[in-house]
Amino acid sequence: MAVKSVHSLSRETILVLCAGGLIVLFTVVGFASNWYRQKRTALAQEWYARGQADLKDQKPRRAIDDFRTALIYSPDDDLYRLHLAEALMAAGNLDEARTYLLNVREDDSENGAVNLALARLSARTDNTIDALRYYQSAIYGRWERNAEGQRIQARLELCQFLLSHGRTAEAQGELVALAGSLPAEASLHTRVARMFLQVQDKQHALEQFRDALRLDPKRLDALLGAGEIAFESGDYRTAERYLGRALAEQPNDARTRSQLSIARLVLANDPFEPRLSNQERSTRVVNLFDRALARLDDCAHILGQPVPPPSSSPLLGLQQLYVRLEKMRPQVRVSKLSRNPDLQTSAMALAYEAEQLAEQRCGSPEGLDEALLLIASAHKGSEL
Amino acid sequence: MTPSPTTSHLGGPDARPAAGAPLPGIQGGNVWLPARLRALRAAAMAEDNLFLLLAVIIGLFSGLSVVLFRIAIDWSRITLLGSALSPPAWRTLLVPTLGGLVVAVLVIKVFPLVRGSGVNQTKAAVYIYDGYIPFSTVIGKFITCALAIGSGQSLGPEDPSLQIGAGIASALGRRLQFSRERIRLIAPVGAAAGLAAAFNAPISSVLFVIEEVIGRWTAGVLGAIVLAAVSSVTVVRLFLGSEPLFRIPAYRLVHPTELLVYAALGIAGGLASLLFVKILSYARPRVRMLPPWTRYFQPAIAGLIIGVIGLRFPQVMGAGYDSMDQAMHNQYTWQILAVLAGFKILATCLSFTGGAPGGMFAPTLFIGAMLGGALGGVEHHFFPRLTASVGSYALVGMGTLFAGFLRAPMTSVFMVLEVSGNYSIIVPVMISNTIAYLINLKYQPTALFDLLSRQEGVDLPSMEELREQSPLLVEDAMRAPSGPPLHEDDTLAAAVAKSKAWSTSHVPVSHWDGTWSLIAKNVLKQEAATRGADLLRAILPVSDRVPVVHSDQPLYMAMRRMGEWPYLPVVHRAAFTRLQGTISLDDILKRYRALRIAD
Repeated sequence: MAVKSVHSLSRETILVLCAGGLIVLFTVVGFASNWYRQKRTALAQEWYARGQADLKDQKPRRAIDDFRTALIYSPDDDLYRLHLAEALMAAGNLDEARTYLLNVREDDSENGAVNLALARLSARTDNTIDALRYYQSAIYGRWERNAEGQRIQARLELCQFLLSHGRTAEAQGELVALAGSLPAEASLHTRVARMFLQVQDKQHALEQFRDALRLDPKRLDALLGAGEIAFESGDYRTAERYLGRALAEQPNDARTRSQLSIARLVLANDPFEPRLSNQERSTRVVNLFDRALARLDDCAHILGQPVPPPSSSPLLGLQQLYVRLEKMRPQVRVSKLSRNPDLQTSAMALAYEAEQLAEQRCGSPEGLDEALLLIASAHKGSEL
Repeated sequence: MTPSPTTSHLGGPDARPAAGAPLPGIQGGNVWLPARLRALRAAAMAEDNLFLLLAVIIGLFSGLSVVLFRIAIDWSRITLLGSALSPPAWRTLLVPTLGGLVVAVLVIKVFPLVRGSGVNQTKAAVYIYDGYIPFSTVIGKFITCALAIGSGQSLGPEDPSLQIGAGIASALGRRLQFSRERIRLIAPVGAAAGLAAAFNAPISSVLFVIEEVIGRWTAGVLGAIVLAAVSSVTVVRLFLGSEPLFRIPAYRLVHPTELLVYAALGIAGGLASLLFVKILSYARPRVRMLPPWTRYFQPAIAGLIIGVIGLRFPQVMGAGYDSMDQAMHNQYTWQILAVLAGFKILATCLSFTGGAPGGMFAPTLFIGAMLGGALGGVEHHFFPRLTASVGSYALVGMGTLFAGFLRAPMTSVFMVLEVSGNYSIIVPVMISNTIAYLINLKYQPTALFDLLSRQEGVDLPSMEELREQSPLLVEDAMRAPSGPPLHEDDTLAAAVAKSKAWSTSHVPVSHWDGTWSLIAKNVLKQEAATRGADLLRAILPVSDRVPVVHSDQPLYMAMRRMGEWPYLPVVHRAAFTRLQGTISLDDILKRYRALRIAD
């Protein structure tokens, strides 16, 4: 075919050439735009990685530039935006971080991650109202990955924030809601249990420690937590069980050892224990009464108040009590106590009074004295 | 070289072959399709339809070219300045300088026609060169602008995109051998496609081309422009996504008093645009007067100064869309925004006066965004409860500068609406844009594009002057009727009596159907003398009606209709038989003479 000048071609030919040209150009542009998109994505990832490394190396200023650069190449990536906000916060540019996050939130008000970041920022600046609002938005917001875990994390942080601001009632409500949705993870149960302890909700705390122990029976902090709660609640049998297991895990823990020995002393000497024979109960009363008398005697010596007191001088408070104990002492016999439960109660009341006074005057008791105090406080007003 | 219509294959109705004659394209051995089919197709493909088809093809080519152009700019920026937000100091200083040198050599030695505004070059193609834009200009614009913008010159890709589109259109139009008139119109079609692709905003691009290049709404070209713009935007969205050039912040008017701040933004935008134009109008002619050899170094010196600014404020380098995005999303303090606006004016003036090829749309939007953001930031600082986000101000600020600096008020409003997709922003935009436009109009008599074309020694028609012109109307030149008009039902005797009130040689006669005739007094007298009782209509042939005009019509229309008539009746629009006055050629000329004396 003879080569023609472009000017001499017919319109149809030129239109066909145009169509061919368009196909070629479409292909070229397709390849070019694909390469361009990949290049931008790669650059975004590269700068994001640099930003993360700088943030890790405590170089937040550099991280800010890195994340900003990453966002030039991938402007809608929420992860990059959040990390930029994080870097801004780390650099102390709290206002800038807030403004930035608020802008991101304007685009997507239900974004859980953005709300959580805003909540953290508000918490950091003690803006309680905003912090609570954003925490709630984060809890009920939309999460791209691991939604349940992120919501739990947000609620945990909210509880922590409420506790740190003394809003225990609200914190307790949130903790109860949180406890119902926790996954099978011992550390989480333990953490929530500790928070329950902070709001004095020992019952829920113990439940959480137990849940943790069901998942990980040797978990030391859960054993210790459960043991302590049981101990403080006067449930010494349970306390002995948990503390005993804890000591087995960590034999050198002196505090646990001491608590365990007290619990065991309580269990061994508590006359209020059910299913004790009358004889055994009376024996325990006698032992405790004698112990109280001895403690009072020791304390009086320390204080320089002679017991028994000389008859001429006026009686001081401790001496008066010693006299009362001495007076009752002949009655406190196993044989007599076995026949007279009221006497058991009176003897125990007096022994408790003695221990209390000794504690006030001579400091905290140890050993059986401590056990006696614990038995008495656990069964205050109870009758044998 | 432009083809003559006489050489066209199917160039216009006059050039069509006679019936039965072989159709062009069939003769000459084109044997791809059966001859009959080709003949049918060729016959069906009327000029108008082909023009619309060509508009789509232009749109597709322009869109594809602009996609490549944008990739080329970004690629050259990443390659030359690096991918970092703040390039290293040595690159910041060296790249714009060396890039300026290379661009200067290319512009002077290889592509001399790429220098200057693409809008004006397209206008020149329409009004001076019969739609001719050399294709080398397209290639030159592509290469030199990608290099200049990529190396950090403070210029934008929209104006070159517009010219790339216009150049492609011109080339295709010539190859398809359209009539001279069509080829003239085809460059704006390509311009709209190029601009639409660059902005990813077809409506404002169509409006801009009509507002600034063609200057009037003509049905003949509007359809083609819209088709081309839509095709090009479709292509761009296919390859680069449908997102606008920057992420748009959410807008809401928090309190009506905010409108006062938008008015203040209008004033600030008007003053900033005025400063921008004044610097350009002062500096550019002076730089152009320097010895020719300095042209090799002008872009380099501009690049070096921009590099120095870029050491502290790298945002001013290049088109700056990323920074606009960041400004609209509150990533700068108001102080930084204000400083960036100032430095961008300086950097853009340097780049443009230095002769680096590139457009001023993006810098204008940049300055507007920074200025708006700064003002919004100040308001936010003092009245945090009364303001929307700073980003809203940045967005409105873009339109404000566009209205003030480029003096395209309609485009500026629609551009903000189109990119924001939020019609509730229209009130602040209109307030701010109008104020900025009026300030610039008052203190800068010549619009930017007219100024630039005159600096280049070309007097292109000013679209603004056309818009602002108040044309003379018929009512400015007409005279009151000398007497009552005659009616076709008058007897000839009565008509002679009525005609005495008329000082003119002819008297107007109204007909029942609202048409008018003129009858010479002497003829009337002669006829009346022989048959005075007859009705006037008997002596007035139906074919001899005089054209009429209305008082609100332009004066040139009366002139056009005058023909050989001694004068034309001026009749009421709602009552065609009611004579408001008469207008003669002499009246028209007198009015024009009076206007010239007044000028």
